[in-house]
Amino acid sequence: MLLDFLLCFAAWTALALAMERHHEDAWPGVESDAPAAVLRRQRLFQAGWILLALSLGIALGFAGATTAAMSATVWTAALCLAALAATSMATWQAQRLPVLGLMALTLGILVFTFDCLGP
Amino acid sequence: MTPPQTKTGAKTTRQPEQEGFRQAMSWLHTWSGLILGWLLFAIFVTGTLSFFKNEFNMWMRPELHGLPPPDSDVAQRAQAALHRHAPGVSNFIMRLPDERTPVVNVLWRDKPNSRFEALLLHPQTGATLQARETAGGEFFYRFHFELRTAHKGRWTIQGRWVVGVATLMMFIALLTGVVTHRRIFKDFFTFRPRKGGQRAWLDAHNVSGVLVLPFYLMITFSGLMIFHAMYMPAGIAAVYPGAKGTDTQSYFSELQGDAPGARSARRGSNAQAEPLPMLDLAPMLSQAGQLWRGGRVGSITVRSDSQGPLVEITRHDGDRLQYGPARLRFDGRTGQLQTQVDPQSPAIKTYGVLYGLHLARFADIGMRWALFGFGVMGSLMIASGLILWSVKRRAQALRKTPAAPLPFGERLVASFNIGLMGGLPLAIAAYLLANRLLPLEMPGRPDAELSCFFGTWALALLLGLIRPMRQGWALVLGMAATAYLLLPWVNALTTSTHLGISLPAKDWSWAGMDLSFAAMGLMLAALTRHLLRARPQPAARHAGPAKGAAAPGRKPGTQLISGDNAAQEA
Repeated sequence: MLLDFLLCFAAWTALALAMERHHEDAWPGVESDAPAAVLRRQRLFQAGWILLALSLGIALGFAGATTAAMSATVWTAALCLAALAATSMATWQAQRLPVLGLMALTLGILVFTFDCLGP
Repeated sequence: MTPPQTKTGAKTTRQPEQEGFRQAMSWLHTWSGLILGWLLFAIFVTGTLSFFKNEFNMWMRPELHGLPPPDSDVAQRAQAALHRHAPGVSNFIMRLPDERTPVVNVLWRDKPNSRFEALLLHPQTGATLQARETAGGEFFYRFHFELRTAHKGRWTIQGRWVVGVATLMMFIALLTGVVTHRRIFKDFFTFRPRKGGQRAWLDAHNVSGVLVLPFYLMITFSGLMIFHAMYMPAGIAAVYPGAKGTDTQSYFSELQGDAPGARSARRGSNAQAEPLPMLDLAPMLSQAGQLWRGGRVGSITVRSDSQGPLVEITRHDGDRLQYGPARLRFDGRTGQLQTQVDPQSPAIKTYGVLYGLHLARFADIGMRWALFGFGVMGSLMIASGLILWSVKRRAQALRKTPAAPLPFGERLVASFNIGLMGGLPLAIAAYLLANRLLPLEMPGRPDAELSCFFGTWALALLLGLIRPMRQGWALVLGMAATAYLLLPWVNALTTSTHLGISLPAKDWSWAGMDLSFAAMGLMLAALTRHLLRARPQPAARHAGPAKGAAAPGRKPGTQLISGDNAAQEA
């Protein structure tokens, strides 16, 4: 649940930041349709979808003690929770959104390596 | 969500046919939502509470507080206790204790086809436990799918049909909503509460709708599936012909993975059932443990029929996603395993998984809270949709004529919004307060609790009809806030399960209830404060200072002024 949530949250923040409105909210000084910003938004968009796919892949591939069906259910719940969390952050902490997304990603990678190394 | 593009390539011409389709869907979405919205709100709220049905069942029976964890031969001891309590018992279902419900729950009867009697037993000693008479969390559960209004149940089938129609409408509203609110994927993360008015309500409706969409689709579709046999009997009638019309029993036997006719074959004549002897359950339970590789036993059903006692051991329904759980059938006298009942066909498994997802028996505490949160979001989605209906019409009317009077229909919708939606949390608090405050020995106590629930709800509706405006909301939500904040205190004064005892003992299933009530009270209080804070509105300026200063419950000295209503300001 935690790993799913962290990766989905990172993915949702990337997808949010790829949108004009949230991009401008997060970086108020940057024109969101300047060529550099468009490129960055495209990269964020791709990164977001890749992260979502990756988190689903990890959930299904490393189901651990539970069944794949249960794992998919937990992933879907985490997906919705992360979307709620990302939207709250985009609403009330817009400028911290990039940092929060990166933190979630880092934590997610840590949790994943810990899971793989652990028993 | 569409990939970012430079603006030149983004513009597409709009198709006229698409617009027509969207408008048709918009019409369907608006009116199906309006007509059944209040009912759907009540179904959603009670369904959400049903995720914590067991916890409500315990909290509303404080006599059951502080029971020890069960020991290994709890089933045998409980069986002995049942035989002492009811020597003629011929059929019983014994639910074994688990971490959510630490009590042995027995339903028993001594005549076939009579009503089951309930019995609560101590998880270690098997002693009979006396708890107050209450419908408990079962009321929310039963209201959720059959609109139960009385403890023993009435108009059950009719209620299920009404809920079924509402569920179908919900499904239609969800699908048409995706078409109607065309920007939901473009505005996926967009919520702008500061913009106020129609914009903020539309954002709230869209965001609460789209973020948890997988849950809504799952819960609505599976809700329809559960009663498929009632809504669509023709297929069953065609394939399962019986001597007297349709052999529905065989259909349900097969749906549970049983042989058709297994339910009735052994039963024989229904005239009289032999009293059950004491059975040695331990070998059967240990065999079940081996077959299920350590899976938990959920319940034990014992029945005396034409061939002697029959024992069925049912696995705990929290052990897997699919519902219903696997069963083992034993001959009671010899302890011989007869059949393993567990459906294997892909269609039945799919159905079972949908059923299981809806009931969420599989969910651990984290998942349970997540699902509860999704249910709350769903309730907010319905509520914001209904309020949006009012706000939008009001804004349009005021744009045309600045002091337009509130038409009858809109006034009615505003009243129902306050009474039926705002009144529901209040009614639930009244039900819980009644559980603590009504005399314990009162005859018909469960129905008296329900009267408190429905009476309070009706009262809130009356308030909504009298004051279909901001004050009405503040009054009803303020009363609800007070009631929820009172609950932990009333609990402390009337029982020994209060926070002063449950918190130091880290007894989270009990403390969690009181803490949740307090949190709910604080949230409602904040909402009420927000509503009471005067906000100067161009059309409502002459509504006077009474609006901001009036305490809830006191009659404000102002008249109903057209602009001063929930529709415009909410």
